[in-house]
Amino acid sequence: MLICIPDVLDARQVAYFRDVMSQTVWEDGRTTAGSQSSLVKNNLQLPQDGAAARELGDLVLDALAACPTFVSAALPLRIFPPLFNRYGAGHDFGLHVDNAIRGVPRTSVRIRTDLSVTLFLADPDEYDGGELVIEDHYGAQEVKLPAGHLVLYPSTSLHLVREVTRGERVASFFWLQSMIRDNVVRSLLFDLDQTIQGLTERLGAGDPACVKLTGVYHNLIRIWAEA
Amino acid sequence: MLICVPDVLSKETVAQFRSVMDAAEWEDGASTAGAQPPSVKSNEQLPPNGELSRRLGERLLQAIVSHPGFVAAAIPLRIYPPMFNRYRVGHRFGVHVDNAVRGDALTGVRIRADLAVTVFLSEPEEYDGGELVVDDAYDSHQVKLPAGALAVYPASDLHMISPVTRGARVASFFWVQSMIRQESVRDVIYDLDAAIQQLAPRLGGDDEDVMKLGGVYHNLIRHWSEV
Repeated sequence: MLICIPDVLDARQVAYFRDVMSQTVWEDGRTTAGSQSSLVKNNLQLPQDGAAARELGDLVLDALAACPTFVSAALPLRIFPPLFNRYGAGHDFGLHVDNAIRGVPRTSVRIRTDLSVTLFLADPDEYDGGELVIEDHYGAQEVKLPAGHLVLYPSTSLHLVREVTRGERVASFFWLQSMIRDNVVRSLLFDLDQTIQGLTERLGAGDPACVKLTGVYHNLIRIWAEA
Repeated sequence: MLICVPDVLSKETVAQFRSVMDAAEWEDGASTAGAQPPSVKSNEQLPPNGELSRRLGERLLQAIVSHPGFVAAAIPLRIYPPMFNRYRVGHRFGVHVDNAVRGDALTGVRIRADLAVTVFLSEPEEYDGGELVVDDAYDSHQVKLPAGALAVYPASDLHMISPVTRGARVASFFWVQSMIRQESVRDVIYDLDAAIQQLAPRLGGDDEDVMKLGGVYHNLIRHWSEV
């Protein structure tokens, strides 16, 4: 399931990100690519150990933690330090699947990549092309969101970024290991949580049915979570 | 979790059962005691493979499998042919756990006994003592229900029938293999169903949130059921 979440960063935050990024030297994006994807990857990245990537990455993580929809949809256990990329005219990233396991550089932490995230940092009118195309069992879905919005999708999906033909597509991307490994189970929990949120607004948090459902939600997490 | 379901049989049906049973030949209950020593179990039973037992059992199952309260609590896959027993003054069944797997000689049906069911066929005023006592992780539950009601509980829980000191306690009992093997999971699904049953009359069965919860319920069954 592909989930788009609006307004993870506001316009002021996006402007700050863009300002920091414009003053930084970018490197070839193949430094973090796996063996298959390095053949089809053609873009620029902020050096992942550089001060800019680290500062902005921490800001992204703060914004994610403050976003209940993201937490509900991803149920994150470990998040890879966010990376940042830039596609200028002529850049693209061909069809690939992300590596299953990612080590966090200079730590012993390994992450199973259950979910991939792209946080858009350029508005759609800044560039042509550059759509993120995700293939799932239902077909290909094209994603191009306003700056500050993100898309969350299973890392098992084949995906690509179309060639940019005008302007620049700037984004943050990263992976996460969810407490809930199975995509089907995670979507079910997301559906349940969203329904409970809706009912709580209508009936009040103290309504006996809402209390019972909240118990069901947490008991399901208890049964399924890896923590 | 021990669950009591009222009014599974009408009082008229109970009276019909009793008039046939009270006139029948009963035998010593030791023949179905499994590995339990005879000192643990003292009661009478209708011969389990006899025509009467089977006929009443069929009729009982017809009422039970169409009862929403029982279906929600047990999520039954296979049901062992019901047996009928009677505890008179001095009879008892000491603390025990039911055999894990039961095969029926007549039908060849073999089931994993996930749940035990007692259907009460005497009114509480007809006898003293004879409580069904079920010990779970938290508590010891004493159960003595009106005729026509049933109690369903995990066959893995220790349970006993306390000595009858007056009158006679007549009941049917049988085992169920549930589509949902694990008790904690079955409990969560039961709670979700209970919340839906509570919300549907308040908000309407076609309410969007009620529909979504119904979807979650069926997706949980799809995920976990063995059929």
